Amino acid sequence: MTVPTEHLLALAGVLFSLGVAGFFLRRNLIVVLMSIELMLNAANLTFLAASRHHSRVGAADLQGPVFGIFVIAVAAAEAAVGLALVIALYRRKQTVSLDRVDELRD
Amino acid sequence: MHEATWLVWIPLLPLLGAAAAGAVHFLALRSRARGADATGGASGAGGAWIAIAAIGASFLLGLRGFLALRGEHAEALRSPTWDWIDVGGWSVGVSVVLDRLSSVMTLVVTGVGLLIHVYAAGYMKGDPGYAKFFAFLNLFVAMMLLLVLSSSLPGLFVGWEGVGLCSYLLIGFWYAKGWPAEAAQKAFVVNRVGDAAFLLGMFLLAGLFDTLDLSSLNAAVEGAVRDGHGPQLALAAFLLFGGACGKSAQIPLFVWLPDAMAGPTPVSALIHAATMVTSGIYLVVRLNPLFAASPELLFFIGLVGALTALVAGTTALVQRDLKKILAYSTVSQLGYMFLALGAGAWASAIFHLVTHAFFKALLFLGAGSVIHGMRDEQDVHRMGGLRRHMPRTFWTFTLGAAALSGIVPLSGFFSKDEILFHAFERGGAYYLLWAVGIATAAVTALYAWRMVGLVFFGAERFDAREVHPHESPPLMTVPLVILALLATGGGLLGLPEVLHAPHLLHDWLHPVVERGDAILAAATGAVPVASGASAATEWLLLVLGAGIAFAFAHRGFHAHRQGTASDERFAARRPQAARLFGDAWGVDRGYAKWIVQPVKIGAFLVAVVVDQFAIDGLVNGAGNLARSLGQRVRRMADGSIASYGLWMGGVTAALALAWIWIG
Repeated sequence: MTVPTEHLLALAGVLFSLGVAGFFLRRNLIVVLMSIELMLNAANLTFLAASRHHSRVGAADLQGPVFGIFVIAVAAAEAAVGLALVIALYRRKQTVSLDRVDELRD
Repeated sequence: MHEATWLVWIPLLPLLGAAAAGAVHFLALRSRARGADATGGASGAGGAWIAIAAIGASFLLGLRGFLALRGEHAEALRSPTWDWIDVGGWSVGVSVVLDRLSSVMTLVVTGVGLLIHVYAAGYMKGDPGYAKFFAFLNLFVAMMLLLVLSSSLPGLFVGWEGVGLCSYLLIGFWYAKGWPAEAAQKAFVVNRVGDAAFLLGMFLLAGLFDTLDLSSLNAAVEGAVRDGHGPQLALAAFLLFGGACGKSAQIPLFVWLPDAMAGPTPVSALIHAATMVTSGIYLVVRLNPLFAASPELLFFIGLVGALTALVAGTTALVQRDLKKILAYSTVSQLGYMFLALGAGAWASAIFHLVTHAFFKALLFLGAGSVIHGMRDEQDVHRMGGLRRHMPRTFWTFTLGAAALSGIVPLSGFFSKDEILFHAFERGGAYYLLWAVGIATAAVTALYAWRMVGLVFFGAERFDAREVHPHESPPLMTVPLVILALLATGGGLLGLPEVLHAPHLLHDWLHPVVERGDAILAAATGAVPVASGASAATEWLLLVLGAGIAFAFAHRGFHAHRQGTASDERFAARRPQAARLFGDAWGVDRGYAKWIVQPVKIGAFLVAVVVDQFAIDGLVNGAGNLARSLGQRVRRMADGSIASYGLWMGGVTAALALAWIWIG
């Protein structure tokens, strides 16, 4: 008894929407970064679900998992850079709230 | 063809001299700026000696080349060729070629130029731009030598433009006065008209012959005529003649030369009498086969020359500015040279060019000496009786005037008479040109001796308390004496045939012009020039020319030795003629009315309507558009990461959708 592909895709969609909502609605930069990670993982889940959907016995489709591994690697790098930015921002402004970071306006 | 690398030094030495004199000028400027002005006006004197040494060495090299040509009976000496332009199978090489024609020109340019340099060392003494003046003068000589020595038409053109530039610089040498700067611009602009024609002619020749090497061109003309390219050749020659008209101040482009007298007098002598203005004649003689190929064009050239001679000669009759008289006289004499070219008498044109260089340089330098001694007075009506004050200038100037008017046996008599004889010899429509020429000879004698009478004889019409005329220093009078000797004896270069003496210049130039003579003979069926009409005709013309010159010189001298009464009588009795002659037959006024004025109106319209409304509107409109667009777009950048994310995500999604939809 396996979980149907549709369920997996629905879960991925819910995760992605949560990420999008967090990205747009939250003001804490760390939470925004976490939301981005959530969206990336929703994409990963989609890849794996699609990969399983296309695999047959004795002929596994490996494109999806490989993509997932790449995405995880990039996400790790992105998290490193993002968190470094957060630290730099905090040192400068003593805050990580996006409401206070709007120097590019005008 | 003999290789001779040292030839390149002939134009190169004055060029280096110009650079050195220019450096002296800058050093003098710097020391003056530092206030170390202990030497006063003498600062930069070194520039003059550098320039004189450079042109002197160049003269000696020219002499060496001349002797080599004579000794070895070689056709030409040639320096190694420098490939100037080499693109797509088309190449232009430039080398320095000294053949029989360019050796004559080189000796005139450097010889007369050397004398004028020495004279100028005295004349310009105390001028703040002393060394700069010599830098320009040497640069001019270098460019003139490039013009006469270049092996190809583009090289010649570089020299042609270079002398135009130097002419501009030297006419406007005293630019702070205002009007010399305007005269310089006028000279430059009028010459530009001719130069445009020159360029077009050159393009046409390049298209026809695929080469611009002068000797190849000359060799190819005959074949092109046989192939039926006659009309194109005539057009090219006509365009080149347009360039010659500008440089040599012929109708309708002569208006710049009288104004060019705003420059210092040595400049007038060197550039606007002896050398640069004769480069048009040189060009025609250099390409004589091309011009000989269309006899109709030759007649047209002769007509232009004859008319210019008459118009400028009559204008010189009534001028009061001493230098203006000489300027119009130069235009008139250049007209004679073109008359000679029109008659196919190439060597006679060069002969007159040489004698004219002697006597007109002499006259200009004499005039400069007079002006120098009279504290910058140029109006002949306010001179008079100067022969007592400046005897050497008087004698030399009078010899120059005698040579100009064609008094036997001075140089001008032989060269002018030869031109008239050749015009007469051609017959047909050329009789008309001959008649104009002989009338001009009478006019020439009149104005030449009017000048002598008004300047050196009669009562002193200046304020003796203000002006103390004095003889010029030896630095200036020695060149005068040498030039006077040359102007007197220059006729020996070309004695008339009937005297059974060798015509040295004809014999010397024969190899250069024989191709043109042959083509002309084939085209018109006429016998080549100097094959000899009857001796009786020649004697008759000689005596007629001598008689007319003498009679009118006598009349001009005696009418004006008493003072200005004769001029006033003429103005009162013939007011229309006086007015017509006074402003050069209205040519300048016509230009002002029909060209300068419309151009100014057009320029005003363009400045106000086109520039301020159309162009400015376009440019400002573009700026305003960009700004208002930017005002709207800037709202996107509100500093909130969420909105940037929205834009990025939204646009990415839109693109993805579009890709799915289209793809």
